[in-house]
Amino acid sequence: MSSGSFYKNLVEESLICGRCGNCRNDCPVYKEIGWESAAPRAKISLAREIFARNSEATISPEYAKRISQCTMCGACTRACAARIDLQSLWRDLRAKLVTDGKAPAAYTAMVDNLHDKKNISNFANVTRLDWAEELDEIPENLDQEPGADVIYFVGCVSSFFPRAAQVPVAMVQLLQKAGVNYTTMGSEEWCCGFPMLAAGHAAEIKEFARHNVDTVRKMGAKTLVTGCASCYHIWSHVYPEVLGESLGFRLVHATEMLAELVTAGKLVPNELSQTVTYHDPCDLGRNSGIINPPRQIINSIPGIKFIEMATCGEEATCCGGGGNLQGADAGLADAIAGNRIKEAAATGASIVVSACQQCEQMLEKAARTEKLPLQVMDVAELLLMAIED
Amino acid sequence: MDTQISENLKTAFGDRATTDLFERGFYQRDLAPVPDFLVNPIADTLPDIVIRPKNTAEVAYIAKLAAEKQIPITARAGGSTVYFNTVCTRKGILVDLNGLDQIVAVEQEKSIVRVGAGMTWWQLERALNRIGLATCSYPSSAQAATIGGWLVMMGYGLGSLKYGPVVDQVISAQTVMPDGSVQELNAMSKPPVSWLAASEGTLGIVTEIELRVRPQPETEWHGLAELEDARQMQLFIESAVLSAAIPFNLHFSDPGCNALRHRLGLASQRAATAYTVAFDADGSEKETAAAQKNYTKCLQITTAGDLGEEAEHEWQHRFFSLVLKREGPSLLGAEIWLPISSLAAYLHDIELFESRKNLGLKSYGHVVTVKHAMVMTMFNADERNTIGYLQGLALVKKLHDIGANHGGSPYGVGLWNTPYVGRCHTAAELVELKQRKKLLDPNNIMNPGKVYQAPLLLNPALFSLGMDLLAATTLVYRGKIGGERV
Repeated sequence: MSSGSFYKNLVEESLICGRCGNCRNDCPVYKEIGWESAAPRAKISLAREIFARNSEATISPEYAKRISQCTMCGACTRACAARIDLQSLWRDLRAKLVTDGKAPAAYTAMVDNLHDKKNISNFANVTRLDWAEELDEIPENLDQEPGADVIYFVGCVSSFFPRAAQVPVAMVQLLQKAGVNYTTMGSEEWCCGFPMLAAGHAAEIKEFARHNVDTVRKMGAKTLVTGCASCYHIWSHVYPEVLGESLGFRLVHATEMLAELVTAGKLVPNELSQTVTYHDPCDLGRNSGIINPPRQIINSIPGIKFIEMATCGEEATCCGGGGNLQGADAGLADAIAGNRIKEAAATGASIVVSACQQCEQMLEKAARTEKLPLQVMDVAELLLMAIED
Repeated sequence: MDTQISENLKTAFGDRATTDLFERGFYQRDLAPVPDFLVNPIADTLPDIVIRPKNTAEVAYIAKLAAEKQIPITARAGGSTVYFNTVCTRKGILVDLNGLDQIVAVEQEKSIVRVGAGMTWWQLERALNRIGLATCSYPSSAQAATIGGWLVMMGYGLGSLKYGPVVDQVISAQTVMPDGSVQELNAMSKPPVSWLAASEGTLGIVTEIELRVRPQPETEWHGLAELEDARQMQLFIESAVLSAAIPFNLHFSDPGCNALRHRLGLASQRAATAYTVAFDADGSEKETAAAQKNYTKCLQITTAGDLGEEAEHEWQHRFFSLVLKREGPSLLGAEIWLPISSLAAYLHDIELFESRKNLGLKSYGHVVTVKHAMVMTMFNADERNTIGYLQGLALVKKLHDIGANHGGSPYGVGLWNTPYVGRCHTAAELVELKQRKKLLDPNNIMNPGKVYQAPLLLNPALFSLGMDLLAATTLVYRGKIGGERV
């Protein structure tokens, strides 16, 4: 039976929408804003009026704002009774914002920066491995080592944002301890391109896809491991589509690789007496189907008490950090993160673990804002803690 | 509505009240994309103000003000119906109840919960499952439909066959009455809670409900029977509901539906040419084993085939019926409350109608009592093609006529089914319903224009004549309707 996307185009899909409202149930934006105009079905209704029914209506400032108020978490796609691939629809709708000159200024700034720097920060791409200075000793094989079996695709957030730098620091220590023959792409790692997709510049992602895929092929690695959930989703779902070819090497998320290494006995965690909950990143769980490996890692640590949040797995609520929402409406993104961290706190856990550095940043900030005694960390950090303990 | 009243409400509710045109526009329709030129002569659907209350006291405040000033007040939550049941007909105040979405109390051992009326059925089901409980029934629109909304509609869906309509599970309902008072309605109160069922929000606004639920089923089991024709399908259903091991849900589809689902990759080639009945059982291991025996017996009686693992797939897709719209892009149809004993005869007449009109008709339905099913018969249309869409609306009336010939009636009234109100109720029932309305809402401000009487332009005689003439125009020229893809 088919479970793939039926998506055709914005016009046809907006007509197919039956306005049933299934999409509202788990939409983090609608839940926070509360007005019908923030519901996915309302945004589609206006798209139908403007683009499918050829009315005289245009994208108003209010509508442009609502279009940008979306984390692209995919909860609506999962619920849609007409099986509309709504993430594709949101991308097309944002492309219309760009065409009409109504996209948020943050989108343009982000895309310009990506073309200029090849990453989402203000730093030059040659500083991509600066996080490694946190290591006691920088491994010789870290930067574009020829002949490595595995390439670790670090991701922009981990590479350039101080808090998230602890994640690659943990990851490479784990790879070293497990005896994995790995390297990174160093300054040849470009942003995966997800921010372009979410900013309505989908066509421009091809240049980034081409560069990244060709670099991995040139380096000859058999496996690419991504630390970031959105990078993983882009590599697995978008690159093959935009390039029209398969990757030609194995792609795994860090949690899959670490779970394999634990299962193989190459990483053996010690006892850790902590109560832990796990936040499923949307692009890893719901949108890529990677749900068990992070749980497998957490549950492999003796002494851990693992408690699921009220919404988890495919149903997990978004952290607010996706879809370039921070750039368009930072307050809304923070409010959504606040809702999620409260859900985490309700489990009674002292540590919230995730597997996406953007999610971790959002949740950590929310925990501080809400004054909740929760430590937020990546699965790799938790595992390293258990191994070193 | 007086501007000063709007301003006062905005002051009272802050950013939870709006008169912004952009926002109010989204509350002008439900699922039915009826064009403006048909709606505007009949109803004034743009609310003057939309308010999102957070609790019963706030709803009561609004209702009291509306009663004093005689302002129409329309409650809305999921907005997932198709007959304008929750759309204003005389402007006024629209109360968006989605914010009343909390579980208020749980009595685990007694399997009783008290919940906000704006919570969706799927939110409730998931929350209950986490503590080992489950709802007794929920609508096929569970992800959008709310607890209060389903109560004041007909309240039949998945689980109704085994546990009855939702009103049977409601112990009490906190209700804001049309005069703004708050009453806890139950079986003994005056009025009783049963008055709310199918009242479509015309007698009061339900804000909280105490609901009987059940322990979460230990097991579930799904079967999918493949039947040769509609008569065998009817026999299968009649046999299945006779057993003590009655299933949680029985859902049937004709070959039109199954063929479309096959084209979409959602059903097998075998199913594509068959009538199918999905048989969904849950409960203790003993109960599901007994239900499975019941299913096997029904297969033997009807010499039906078993579609094996496809049953589980169909169950997983139980909320995705709108996938049938993918070849539309619009769908028009009639949802009919039909005696099971007439199911085959009804489908036979639908086939005859199809042979004359070539609409690509497809039908599916849920068996919701041992005697009745809700049947949806539909065809493709394109809302952008005005002539075709109008002709389609006229042909929907023909489908309702076929249903009526077999003892059927429209499921739900709202505004658009008011021409059929005489089919939905006997004359005596209608007198009784109108008396209730007059008693509780003498000024007719609570969701006016629905349920009881058709507006002038939808007067049954006029409507019938107009629709029949419009349907006849298809003999001369036919717009974009019907077919696999219009």
